[in-house]
Amino acid sequence: MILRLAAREIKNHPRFSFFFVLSVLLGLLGLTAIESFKGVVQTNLQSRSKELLGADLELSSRFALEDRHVKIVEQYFEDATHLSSLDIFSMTSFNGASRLIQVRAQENGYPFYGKLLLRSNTQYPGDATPLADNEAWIYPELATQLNIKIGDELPIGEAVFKVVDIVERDIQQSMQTGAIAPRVYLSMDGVKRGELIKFGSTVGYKVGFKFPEGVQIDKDKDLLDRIKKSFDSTVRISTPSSEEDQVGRTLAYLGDFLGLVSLVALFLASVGILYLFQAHLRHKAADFATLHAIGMERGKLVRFMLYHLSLLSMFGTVSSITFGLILMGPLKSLAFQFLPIEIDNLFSFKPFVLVLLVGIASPLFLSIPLILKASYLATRKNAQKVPVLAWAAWPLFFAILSFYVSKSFLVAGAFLGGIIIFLLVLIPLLRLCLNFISKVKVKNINLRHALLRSSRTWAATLSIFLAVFYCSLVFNLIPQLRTNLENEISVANPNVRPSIFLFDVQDDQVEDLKVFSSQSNLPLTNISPMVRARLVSINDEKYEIDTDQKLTREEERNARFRNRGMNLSYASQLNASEKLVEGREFSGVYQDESMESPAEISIEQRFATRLGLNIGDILEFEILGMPIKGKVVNFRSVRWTTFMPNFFIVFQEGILNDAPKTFLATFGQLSSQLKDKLQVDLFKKFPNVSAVDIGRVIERIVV
Amino acid sequence: MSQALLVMALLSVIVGLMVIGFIINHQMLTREKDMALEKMLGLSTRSMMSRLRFEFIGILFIASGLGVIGSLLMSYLLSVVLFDGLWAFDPILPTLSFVMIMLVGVSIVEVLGRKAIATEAAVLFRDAD
Repeated sequence: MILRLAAREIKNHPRFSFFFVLSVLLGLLGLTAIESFKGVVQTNLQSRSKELLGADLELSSRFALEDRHVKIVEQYFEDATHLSSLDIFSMTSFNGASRLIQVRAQENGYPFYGKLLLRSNTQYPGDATPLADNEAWIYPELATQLNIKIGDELPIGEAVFKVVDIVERDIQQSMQTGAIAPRVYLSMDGVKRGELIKFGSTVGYKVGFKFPEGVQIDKDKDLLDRIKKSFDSTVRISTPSSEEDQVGRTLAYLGDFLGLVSLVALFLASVGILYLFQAHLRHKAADFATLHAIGMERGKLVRFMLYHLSLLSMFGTVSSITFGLILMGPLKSLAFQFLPIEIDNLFSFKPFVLVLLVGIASPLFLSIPLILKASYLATRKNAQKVPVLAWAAWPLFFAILSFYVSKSFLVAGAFLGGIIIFLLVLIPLLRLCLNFISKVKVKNINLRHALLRSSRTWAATLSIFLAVFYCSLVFNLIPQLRTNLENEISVANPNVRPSIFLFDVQDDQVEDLKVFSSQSNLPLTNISPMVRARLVSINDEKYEIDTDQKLTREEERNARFRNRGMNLSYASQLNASEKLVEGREFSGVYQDESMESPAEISIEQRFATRLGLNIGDILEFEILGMPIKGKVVNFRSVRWTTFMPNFFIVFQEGILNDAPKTFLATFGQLSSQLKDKLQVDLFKKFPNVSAVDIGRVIERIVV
Repeated sequence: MSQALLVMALLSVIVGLMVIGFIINHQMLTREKDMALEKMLGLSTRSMMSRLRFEFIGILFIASGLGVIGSLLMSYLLSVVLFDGLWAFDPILPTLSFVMIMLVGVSIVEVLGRKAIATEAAVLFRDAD
């Protein structure tokens, strides 16, 4: 009977019902679209995780993988078959322009899962003819940028390769480097023919394994853990589910952040719902008192109000889910820029449960104190106070939701902190102002009336004020942040910012490069050595994080940050983009010939904070198996957006000078014509050196 | 990325503006009887409209102005944390958002205000919402 009464209440107050449902609908729309989109992407990635990895298990490393690595896996899976592949950055030149490319070579038949779709309507592996050592398949971006057609010959490394096909779809396309370095497929023999691998070249080596039917390594965590422990930290072990995580990560970050922005809409809608419902209950106060007078108990009154509210919330939520599904189309096209796979219409149940829960629980938590208050009033128990817990329920719910959506204590904390700080400042300030203006005597009667009305209906005034305030804040904040970002990376001190960034410069090429620079009259700057190393210990304590457990976004970032190899450099002093923050400068050149005493090191300040380092700490590194110790003597700040070669860890001169290394360097400000010419000339003279056009990178970031 | 962010921000703005509309509309509804009474007592439509403008446009003006200032403050703080204090002030952006919010807000007040004032005095004898 109470449910029927609640349903009739909706019919009796169509205007209120309409506004309430519309508030829930619009408040949830952003969250529905983002969460259901994230769900569909996740389902798609899960269903195609083997194709994304290309194997059942993959070993990858910056160092060449050997037979002993393969044998470790074969100990656990005797019937496993394996094939290798490698990735390397290189340059190519065509039609008077040159581009950075990512070369991928793989043994015939690899990947085991997933296929390359070629323009000739063939598939690899499948009916496509395998690449000969003088043939290449290229990505369409490269074909467009350099105007390359099938049959053209491309110089890569020390050899020339004939373009025999164009890759139309590649499920294993790289999301990070795709736009900056389009991929070119060569055969393994082609890589040898082009002499692409030199000392210090940035090569990614991979070995993929295919297991007999029915073996699913992701399900046997203990076995996977044992395999992982059999390798040192230079070898990364990927499974279909870890690859799915890797591919989904970029989109997950975007989704988490957009989800948080969508919570602003939910917050604003909640302000509206609170006000609407409060006004409705005030209007219904006499009816509730009458119902109680003719025998309806307080509990039934509360239930009646709760049913009414839940029914309205349900309508709003279901409408929001329907509209959210319509928004999936544009979101899918957005995902296409990030994902190597086409998004199929796979249904994901989880996001709808979340939206349903939020859509019903949020208005309920928001309204429970109002309902209790109304029931006390109707049953003439005005003196009874609403429990504090009832008022605290919605803020608590919203805080948990913020964390769940952003998956980050830091981001959710900043978001909630921003809202709370403004509320704490604005509400008392506005009450004070309203009290003050109620006492102000003005001659204009209309103005006087308006001021009095605003101060007497202070709750309504506050609601309107806060809704407009947050609306204006969000409207202006996001474009303002975008302006800051653009300004930081594209406008700031263009005279310091280089035009071309070089990497993979070999030790014996540095002098030739200097000669090339002075002959061409082009400003070669910031020649910086780079030594690959592994951080072993800090103050004799082992430095490692277990990535198998469930981690937050911050913990995930921290684990990846700790477990990867590090690039060291050495210098005599700070460069133009660095500033000493704490400690002292280097004392000069390292003198200890036995190399037993620690050398002086300078650490970037944020890196030092993440590692919890202090001045005087001793860090032990391993460079190709050789231990090197360093003592922190200073912290420095770095302006990374100057695009100059910078490092987290810089040693003093003298200790790393003889270590195996490559060099980074930059060319200063150049006109676009000079830049194009330089890249072509560089490629002719130094085919192994990779050059990044910084202008193109900036364009990619700010768009 | 920035386009996706702008779309989400736009959604928040649409919701915000709708919520402002709902609240003002509800305010007008709760004042229907008062307005009808004022009309019966001889208050001109112009005076009634002028009161509504003073009240709502005043709130809109101060709140959107403070919102813009708050967003500049937040973007400054974020630039200190994220970009080593490099903060770019572009006067066009805050002015544009302020003007846009004011325009939409004033339109809502004008439309809903006129509708509420046009209510017949018979509403005084009606017992419904």
